[in-house]
Amino acid sequence: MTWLLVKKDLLRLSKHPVGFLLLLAAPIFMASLMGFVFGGDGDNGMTPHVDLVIEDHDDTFVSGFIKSAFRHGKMAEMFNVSEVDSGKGRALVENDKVSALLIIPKGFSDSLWQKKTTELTLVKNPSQAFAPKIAEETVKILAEGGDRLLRIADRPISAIRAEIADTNSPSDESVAAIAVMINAMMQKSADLIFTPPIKMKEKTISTDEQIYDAGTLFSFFLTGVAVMFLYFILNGMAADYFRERDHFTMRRIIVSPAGKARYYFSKHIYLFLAGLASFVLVWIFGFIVWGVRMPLQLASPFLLLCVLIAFSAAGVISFLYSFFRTRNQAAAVTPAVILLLSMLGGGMIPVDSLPNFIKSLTIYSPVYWGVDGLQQIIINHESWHELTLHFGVLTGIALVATAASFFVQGRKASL
Amino acid sequence: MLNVQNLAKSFGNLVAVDHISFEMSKGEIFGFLGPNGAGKTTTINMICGLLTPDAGSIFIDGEELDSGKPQLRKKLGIVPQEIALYEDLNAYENLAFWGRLYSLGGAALKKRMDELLQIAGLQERAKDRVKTYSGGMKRRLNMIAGMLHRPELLLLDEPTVGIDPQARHNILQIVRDFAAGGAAILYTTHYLDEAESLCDRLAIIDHGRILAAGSAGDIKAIVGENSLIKLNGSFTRDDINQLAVKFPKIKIEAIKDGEVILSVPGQDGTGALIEEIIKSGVKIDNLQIKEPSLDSAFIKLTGRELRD
Ligand SMILES: Nc1ncnc2c1ncn2[C@@H]1O[C@H](COP(=O)(O)OP(=O)(O)O)[C@@H](O)[C@H]1O
Ligand SMILES: [Mg+2]
Repeated sequence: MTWLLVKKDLLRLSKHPVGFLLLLAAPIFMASLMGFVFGGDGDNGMTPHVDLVIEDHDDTFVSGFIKSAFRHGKMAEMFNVSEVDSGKGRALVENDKVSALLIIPKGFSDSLWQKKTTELTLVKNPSQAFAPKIAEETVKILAEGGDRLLRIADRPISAIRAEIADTNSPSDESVAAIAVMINAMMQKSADLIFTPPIKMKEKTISTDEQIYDAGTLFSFFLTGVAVMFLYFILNGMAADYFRERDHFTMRRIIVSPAGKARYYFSKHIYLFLAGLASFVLVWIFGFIVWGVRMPLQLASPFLLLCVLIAFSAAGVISFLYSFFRTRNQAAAVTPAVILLLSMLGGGMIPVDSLPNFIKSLTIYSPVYWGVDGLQQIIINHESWHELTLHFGVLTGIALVATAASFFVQGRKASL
Repeated sequence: MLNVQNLAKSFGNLVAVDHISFEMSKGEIFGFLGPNGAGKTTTINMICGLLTPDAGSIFIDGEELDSGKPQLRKKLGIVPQEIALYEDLNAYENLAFWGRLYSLGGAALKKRMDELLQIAGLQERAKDRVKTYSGGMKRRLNMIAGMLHRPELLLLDEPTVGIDPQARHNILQIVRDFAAGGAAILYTTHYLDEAESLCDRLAIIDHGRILAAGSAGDIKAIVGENSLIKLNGSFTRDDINQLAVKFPKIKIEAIKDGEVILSVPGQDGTGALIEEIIKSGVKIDNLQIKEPSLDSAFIKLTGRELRD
């Protein structure tokens, strides 16, 4: 009988495939955007700051072009670039004065003209996790003709900005249109990227432990964004609690042999399953379309982690919803709570980049345990052993939140 | 079938249902006639277990109803006052879901759905989303959704509100046929004509109290042979009270400034009364004479007309 109720909800969800897919497009879209513009137009105060020093041993028009790329447009908002004399840069990195050092070797442009492979060297500061990563990815993009890519990306980005400025939130159609545009853009840029003549050599100075050895910036962002959006997706779906009440179908179910307890139980299961499906789909999309990679043997801990993330998120959202009497009340409060949890838990900004006093609170956010677990698997390639704590905490959160929401819902009047 | 004793429910200071008792037997259509806010829905909600009564008890086939008895719930069919359907699903999908909740399934469910869709005249639109239905179609679907499992007791809460006469006729016919099949039906309405033509017995309910119960004939007998006269005009209570002294047979049923309802035995004396009123110089804007009817019984019982 519970399954009958869950099936009914899934059937209803399946009647709105476009809406559902758009919902899923959101995290993909957002992670892509973050990957492209590294945090927006800079006036939200959240643009990460990367202090980069460049040693230009080449000193030609071409190396000048590379340097100037960091001083234009969106790059300029994020990169604080200074040039140092040959041999001075390394000391700055070692003393934690800057995030990274880019070395343009002597003869760089000559090699380029002769179509010979040449190397840019990026020396990353090991005590900073995030900023050097950005520097690395940016240099990669530049190296791969990404400057052109960024210029093309300008169009959808300004389109979105205009839309949001106009209406405060993009309409479904415009999100769809933008998604199509991004897609077309990616196709175009793929054509632009021929085998890059410039290779990049990266170095992290004598680290005890290697930070983020693999994975693209996109997968890094996706770990946070995917969990945050799972909460938002579930938040949207949980409005069903009120939809069924306001359309009186809840009453009809409660007075049937199914009863009240089964009604609530089935909604939990539905939220969990729909959340899990959305979450896994987002990742499948990430794997296929964006080339996010992880070793195959990590598939089972990854899947278990997805299950637990969805289970705990469904519990937390149900718990939140159980306190509200109307849909409007919930709509006014829950997004703020989700943003707060995401902010604390590294869903929006990587935990490394958070101020210290927030860092100490981060373990209290259920989002953290999901995001960090995903990063352990996707970025650090850790397996079961490193994840036992994550699994335990997520299971605990899920059980406590679910039980608590049952308790509150059980005491709610049926009308 | 259904036995309700001393049932009461208050919301804060508001007494919604005030210690009512009634009984229903199989195959009977029992009408609950009362204006909006009389307590009809609250009573139904207590019978189906959505609300816990403050006092009193409800028995179904001699068994006391409480929330922990799913086998008793199967005997009930509920058609709520509001449309309680999934608007993004079609009629088939809705009915299949509601039917399965009551353990119907397979070919039997399919057959029953077709049968009811046929009766309700919805079979041609059965594959369209409910969203696209007219108000009357939704009402009919809402109704048959509560009848799939052939409940022994069907609770119908104002099933004809806000629909056109044809759809209404259809609904009333479905109700009659269903009762003919042996089910007991509790039918609430604020339409006098419906209550009179449909119900075997009815109760007049107002402010949470049953004021009278019985067949339509029994209830009309409350007004006896009397006609009711309703006058509107520019007069005060005192004007009327002074006049009334001269007519000992005439009774004032309800009075306020500008409106009075008088009960007059037969038609005798009506002419004399009106003459007297006109002579006294009181200005009359409107005069209505009502023969003995449910309408006049209602006015006599409640002191007002049954209107929204
Ligand atoms: N949940 C509730 N909370 C407070 N008052 C209510 C509630 N439900 C009904 N009432 C009040 O109880 C009275 C009876 O309502 P109801 O049973 O719906 O009347 P009816 O169905 O006869 O129109 C009304 O005055 C109504 O406002
Ligand atoms: Mg009502």
